[in-house]
Amino acid sequence: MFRSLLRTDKEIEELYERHSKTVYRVCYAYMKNPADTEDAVQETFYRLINKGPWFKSAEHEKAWLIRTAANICKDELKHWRRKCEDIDEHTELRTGDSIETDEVLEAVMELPDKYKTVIYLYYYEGYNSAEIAEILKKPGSTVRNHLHEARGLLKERLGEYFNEK
Amino acid sequence: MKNDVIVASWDRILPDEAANRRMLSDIMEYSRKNRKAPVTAAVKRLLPLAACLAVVISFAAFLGIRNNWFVSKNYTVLLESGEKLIYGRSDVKGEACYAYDYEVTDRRLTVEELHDLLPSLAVPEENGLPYAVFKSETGEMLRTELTADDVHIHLAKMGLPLTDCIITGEESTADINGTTVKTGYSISKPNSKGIKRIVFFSEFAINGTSVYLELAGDEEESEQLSQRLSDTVSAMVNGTPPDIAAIKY
Repeated sequence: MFRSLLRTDKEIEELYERHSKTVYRVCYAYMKNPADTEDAVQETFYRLINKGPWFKSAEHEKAWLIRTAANICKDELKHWRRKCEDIDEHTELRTGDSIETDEVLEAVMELPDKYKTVIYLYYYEGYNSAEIAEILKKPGSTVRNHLHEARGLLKERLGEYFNEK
Repeated sequence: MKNDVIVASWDRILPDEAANRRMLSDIMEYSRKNRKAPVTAAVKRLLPLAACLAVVISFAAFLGIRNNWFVSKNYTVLLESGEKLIYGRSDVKGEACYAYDYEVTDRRLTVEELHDLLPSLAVPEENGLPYAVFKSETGEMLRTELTADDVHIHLAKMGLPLTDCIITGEESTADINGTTVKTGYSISKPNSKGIKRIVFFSEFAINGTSVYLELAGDEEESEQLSQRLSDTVSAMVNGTPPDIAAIKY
């Protein structure tokens, strides 16, 4: 219940070293700029510190961080939308030192939010649909549908360049 | 299933060195500042439980005070002579020393000696005649111990310890016919059937003889036990007193 009290500075630092890149990539897919991505990454680790969940394995730890990071980003984007702000404008304003992305990644980032984590987990991390369903706590059928729809959109956008092999 | 194109594209998404240091530094700072936050949250979660507990304890305290749960019960017996004997809660706190610094000898008392010693009590012979301890040099009787009507009786020459234990607590004293009588009771923890044993005792000195009386039984019989012991005290104090000095080896 109070596991975070038991996590020392060293443990948190090690956790950060293990998963910061993964969390950063997930957040970037949603936030599309380094500044907001940084905020989302920090918020993800703040939640880890506050909630202090207990993890049964490194995979469980990673799954929790990915799910939390995705939820934080979605919440933040919803917050912007509620305030009727133009997200793209926002992105441009804060993209002072943006990361160079290619056509493939831009196509992924243009996908609707609900597909982004699924695509990342499937194509980058290499999980199958059942494992993704477990990580995201979603029904397997939903994950398979999202994958199918996202794959269609990516093929449409990237054409033959999107190689599934 | 990994996709090489997507993996290659996404691999480029990394925080630069400065951003990485900045994020880690902020996270560590936050960790240090908020380490106690879960405790506060836990305390907040436990507040309703604590409130319920406080209500239950208050209610129990109210009932306890009303029903004297926290006050040791005293048993009061009104004697025929009008005096009261009050038995307060006591406990055994230590051991008394029975050792003599002179030579002693013992023998059974005779029926006649027993009747002379306790003329006011009907001591049934079937209980077996008790042993008595005498001082070898002078033949004077020092002590004896017997049971009459379930009451355990210790008699000793005045100045000698009566029992091998020291009892302290809320004993009460009463003046019965010019004799100071100390009374009290102790109670055991419940046994496997939930029954507690209660032991009423009385102590006084009369006619050069120290007397200790003890009557034990189930707690449920407390009233009868205290009454019976008081009757024995009354008979010994108001009747012919025991005279230990009258019996020689």
